[in-house]
Amino acid sequence: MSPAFAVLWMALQAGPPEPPAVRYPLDLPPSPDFLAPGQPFQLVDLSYDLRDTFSTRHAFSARLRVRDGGYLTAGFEGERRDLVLSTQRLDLVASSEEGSYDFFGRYRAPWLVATAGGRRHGRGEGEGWRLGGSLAGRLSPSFELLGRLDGETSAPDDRFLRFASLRFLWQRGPGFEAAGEASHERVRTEGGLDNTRDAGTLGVAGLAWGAELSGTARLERTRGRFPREEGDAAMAARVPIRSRLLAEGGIRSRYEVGVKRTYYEYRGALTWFGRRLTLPRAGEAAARARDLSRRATAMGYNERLVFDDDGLRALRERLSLSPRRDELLDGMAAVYAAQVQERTLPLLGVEYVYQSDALTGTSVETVRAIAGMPWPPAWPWSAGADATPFLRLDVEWQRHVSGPAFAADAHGLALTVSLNREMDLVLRWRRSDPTALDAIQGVGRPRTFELSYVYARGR
Amino acid sequence: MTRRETSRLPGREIPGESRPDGWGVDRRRFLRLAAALPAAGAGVLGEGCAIDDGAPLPSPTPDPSPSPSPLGRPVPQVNGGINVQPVRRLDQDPNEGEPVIVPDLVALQLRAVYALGFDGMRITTPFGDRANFLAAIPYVRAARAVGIDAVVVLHDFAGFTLAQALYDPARRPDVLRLYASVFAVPPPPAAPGLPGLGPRGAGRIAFQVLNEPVHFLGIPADVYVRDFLSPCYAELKAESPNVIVVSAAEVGNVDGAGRMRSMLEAGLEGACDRIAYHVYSRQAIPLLSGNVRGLVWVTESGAVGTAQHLPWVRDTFPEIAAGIPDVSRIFYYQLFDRDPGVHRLLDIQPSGSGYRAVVESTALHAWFEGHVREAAAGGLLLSFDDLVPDVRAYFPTESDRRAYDSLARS
Repeated sequence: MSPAFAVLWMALQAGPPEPPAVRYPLDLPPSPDFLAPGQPFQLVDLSYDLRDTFSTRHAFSARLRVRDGGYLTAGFEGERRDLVLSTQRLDLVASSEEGSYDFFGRYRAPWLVATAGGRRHGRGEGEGWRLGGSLAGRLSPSFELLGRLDGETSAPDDRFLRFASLRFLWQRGPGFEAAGEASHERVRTEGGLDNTRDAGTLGVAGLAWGAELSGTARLERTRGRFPREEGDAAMAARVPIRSRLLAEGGIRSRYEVGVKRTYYEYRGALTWFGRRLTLPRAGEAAARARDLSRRATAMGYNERLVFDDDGLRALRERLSLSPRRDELLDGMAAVYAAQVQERTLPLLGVEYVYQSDALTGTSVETVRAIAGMPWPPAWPWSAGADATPFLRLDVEWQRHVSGPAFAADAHGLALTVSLNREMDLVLRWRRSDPTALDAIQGVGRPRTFELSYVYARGR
Repeated sequence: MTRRETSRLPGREIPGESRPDGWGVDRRRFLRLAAALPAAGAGVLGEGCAIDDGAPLPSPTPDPSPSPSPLGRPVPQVNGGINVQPVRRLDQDPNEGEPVIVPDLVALQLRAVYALGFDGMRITTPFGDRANFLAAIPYVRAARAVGIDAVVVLHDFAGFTLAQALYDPARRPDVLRLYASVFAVPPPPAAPGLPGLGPRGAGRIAFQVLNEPVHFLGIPADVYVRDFLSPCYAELKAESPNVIVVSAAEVGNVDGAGRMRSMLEAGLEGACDRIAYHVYSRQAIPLLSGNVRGLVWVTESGAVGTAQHLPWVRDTFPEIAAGIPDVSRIFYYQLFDRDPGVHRLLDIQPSGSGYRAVVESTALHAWFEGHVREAAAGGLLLSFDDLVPDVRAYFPTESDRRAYDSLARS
């Protein structure tokens, strides 16, 4: 018996771990009932968003669990309407917006995920459909090979095939992931020129020396009337300094090969947390999530590794619909308990981002700061072990420079009230000076007010 | 019938173009022309050609009284084009009411353009600046009258007034109509037998829609083509079919080359008669594709520092022509500005009650002069003053002022 299996076996024998005791402004059971069926319906998601800039836009979405069969989502955002039906293995999506229609389907077989979709172009986009499909074959628990084809029924050059790609995804574990893609694409420019674009992308993410590191590199060759080769590279690091301080940094550059750098971006941030910080890939939650995904895959449920809260919630929801859900319940609860245990509590932070684009002649400088208050209320250095996020104020200042040093400043504020792990209320306000282009186009000084409410059961 | 745009680089008879009537932009491979072609060509092509910019300009007062041809022939146009600023006065008057346009200053610059054998003059006409808009009028009209093509840049020196008007579908037609009515109407030629390619040997008119839109205005390349150039092209052609519409160029370095490519991919070639590039860096030359559907005018090119002027024109202009085979004309940047030792070919200084030109870039000036002398082959040449004894004949009329004021006030 391998040591890992022994640990897992012992953990299973011990029963699901109880989530740690935490306190929220609005009480929440320590752990949701992951297998609770709808009777016949149970509300699991509810969101509403009101956004007012020059006009008011409403967005609303509700998701229901329907007995033990699946989830039904209905929503709208402005003119867009969405309807989604999800079971453990099948997802069906239909949406419409101003004369365009989107359809999407995905079937998750034990060692294969197949998708198919189509988009009927809307007004002003020409006639016809964009159709696409993909196959993702799981060659091992940690390795997938994916192929994708897209076509256009009314392609301007009468060539149906517009995009083809071959990808791999290697998820060795939380500590290392790699993905790569080779793609071939035919693109018609706004001016009616047909270009062929071949691209190769390689990305890695993982843990090293206690830090979370990630990087991507892309090489793209465009053939057509105006051929070129462009490269894009990005690196990012998240480095814990002591137990509560996190330093983050990243750079991104785009080059025209053999010519010059056309875009670059620098980012740096420092955040103070009210409790010990655990990186998403480094803690117990990541290890438990890996175990759960691997076990589900071994059962034929074909699940990838995910490490973020939303991805883990979706994983639990799918598995709660599976025939062998009772066998996976402890794993789901363990992941949830570890997530609660490793919850982040950012209380103070600053971030600086600089972007410069030679093609558009613009540069953007952004400074963000956050200040948070935990629940129960405490100073940033004295939050208790049971503290959870409660209030968070985000402040942003941004300077957009274009044209002959024409500077347009924007200011933003956002207040997030987290009533508990499942419920947030967000107020946002932003005011922007017109950019040079805005001034020319007669766009006034946009002021945006936004109000959002989100309920996500079992998050 | 075909006409020939005899485009030249300084000191070389090169890439001309042969194209069908009607401003078609189909590319024609260039012809090597005989050195004497400009004058001879003008003699053949100057009269009765099909190209007509519209109704002739009503003869202004005082009459320009062109000199008779027995005095000589026009200066051969052998040095390409040049950028000129619409200088109207050099002193400052904070209490100035109606803009003062000093005739000596206009004549001085035009005299240099003509005498140095330039076939094109590019000048900015800022809609948002009444004084300089009006000041550009005599430059354009007089240049065309002596057979020099005028490239009128629709661009403000500062601010967004013109760009806003060109973006606004409600205002754009009126603004373009103003430009067409003020600048597109061809003046009577100052003498018979002028080498211009416009009606009866006068110079043609070209409108360049904005200048370096990404750099000066923050307008992205695709937005420029879609929302500015394309509608302006359609409306200018509807208003005045024989006007040559020139696209804006971008900055003349490596950054500009990428932006030009974005413009081309956004449909630039279908929205203008001439594609414009700027070249201030030799590194940009191989990046500015020769593979375009149309002729290219390099509407600005020059070097910083007086000592670099001659090497740039002598060595880099041919490099541009060789590297970008669609180039049919290069406009040197520039004749005069207020910054000594940077770009200008000459300085303008007060002299008695008038002004005089003081050559600053002596080597380049002599080089231009040498080509003219060589092309003239000792023949007698008409001077600018023979052709235009009084430049005030081309000054803005009351009708021009009214047209501008009524639109600017609206």
